[in-house]
Amino acid sequence: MRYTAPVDPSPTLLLVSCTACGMLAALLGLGGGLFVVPLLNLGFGIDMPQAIAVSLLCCVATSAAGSVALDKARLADLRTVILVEVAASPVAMFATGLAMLAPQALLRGCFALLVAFSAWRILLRELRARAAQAPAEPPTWDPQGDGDPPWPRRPRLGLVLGGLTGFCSALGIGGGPVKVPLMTEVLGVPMRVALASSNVMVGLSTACAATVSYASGSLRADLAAPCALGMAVGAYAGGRVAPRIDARWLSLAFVAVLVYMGGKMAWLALHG
Amino acid sequence: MARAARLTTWGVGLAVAVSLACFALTVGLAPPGALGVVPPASALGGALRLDPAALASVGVLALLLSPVARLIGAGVQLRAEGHPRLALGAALILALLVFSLGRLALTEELGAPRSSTAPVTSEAPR
Repeated sequence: MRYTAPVDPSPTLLLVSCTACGMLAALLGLGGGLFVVPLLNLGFGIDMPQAIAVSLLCCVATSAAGSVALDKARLADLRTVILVEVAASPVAMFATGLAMLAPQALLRGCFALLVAFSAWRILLRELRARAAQAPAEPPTWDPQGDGDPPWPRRPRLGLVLGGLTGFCSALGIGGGPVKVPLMTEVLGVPMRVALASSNVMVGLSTACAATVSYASGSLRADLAAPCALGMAVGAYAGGRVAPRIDARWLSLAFVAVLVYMGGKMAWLALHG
Repeated sequence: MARAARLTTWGVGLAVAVSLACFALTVGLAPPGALGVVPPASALGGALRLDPAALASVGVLALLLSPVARLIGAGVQLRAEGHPRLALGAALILALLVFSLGRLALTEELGAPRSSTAPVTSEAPR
């Protein structure tokens, strides 16, 4: 089937913008869904369900490309990944099925709330890092050593909260800004392990959610191909240059962009 | 266990490489305008004929297979490390994903998207 859309962006434009988004996402340690949904919905006028479907696919692409290119999977703690994802993946599928039927204003409102939460978390992380003038991770575990990271604290609470993080996928994002605090603050996982584990988790829950959006017919090939390609290439390139770039000012600039995007989404949700 | 991790990385890498190649071909071959994905049942045949929608669909399906490789590797590793419950958890997620992909593969027609714009068929108007 072919669909008409309010605006049909050219593949080249999508490829270039998504490559930039992928690079930025890798520099900031994010999956990229926070960029793709506003880019498609606010920038190109694509409906929210279609933007969410494309964004889910982009998250799978960046997660897979990141885990292969940077070998993040070896640093990830598989016990934590499975503990959270066994609840998050079914919820992600269920919630995505609902999102494909939900009104656009509701989706925009929920996305605005999630953007506000993400902006607050990123700002908090930066402020803490500046206050400490040192890496946030306590020296409780040596990632280069042979031993496993510590066993997650409060696994039952982690399971319940993990299920709630599955709702993020219904909005087209992997949920990194929600899953990382869950792991570090509830489960007591070291920050580096949490970031690597989050990358694997995002790939699992968004893949489960993407099968639902595919079946719903919301996925558009003309958007999915350039966006996923651009995001994967951008994430790979961003991951390579990330260690040589000081991303602190970039984080603060990104918070400002998030506040603007969240505000615009909220305005559109309330006033159409 | 190191072999399982290596095989997992290879499996994920292969799936990503296939999907990115399909996406690159789609970007190169797609005509201007909106284009939906096709049901998986007809995707492979269409991809061999270099139909852009079918190529993109194969790319999407290959990408969705990458977590399958990841989950198999995770299950093997967790079982070897002595975490049978977590290995069972990995198997549950894998079963969910495979069931969902299998149901998708058997679908002959995708659902109509709930969109502000009406879908039109790819056939020329009579």
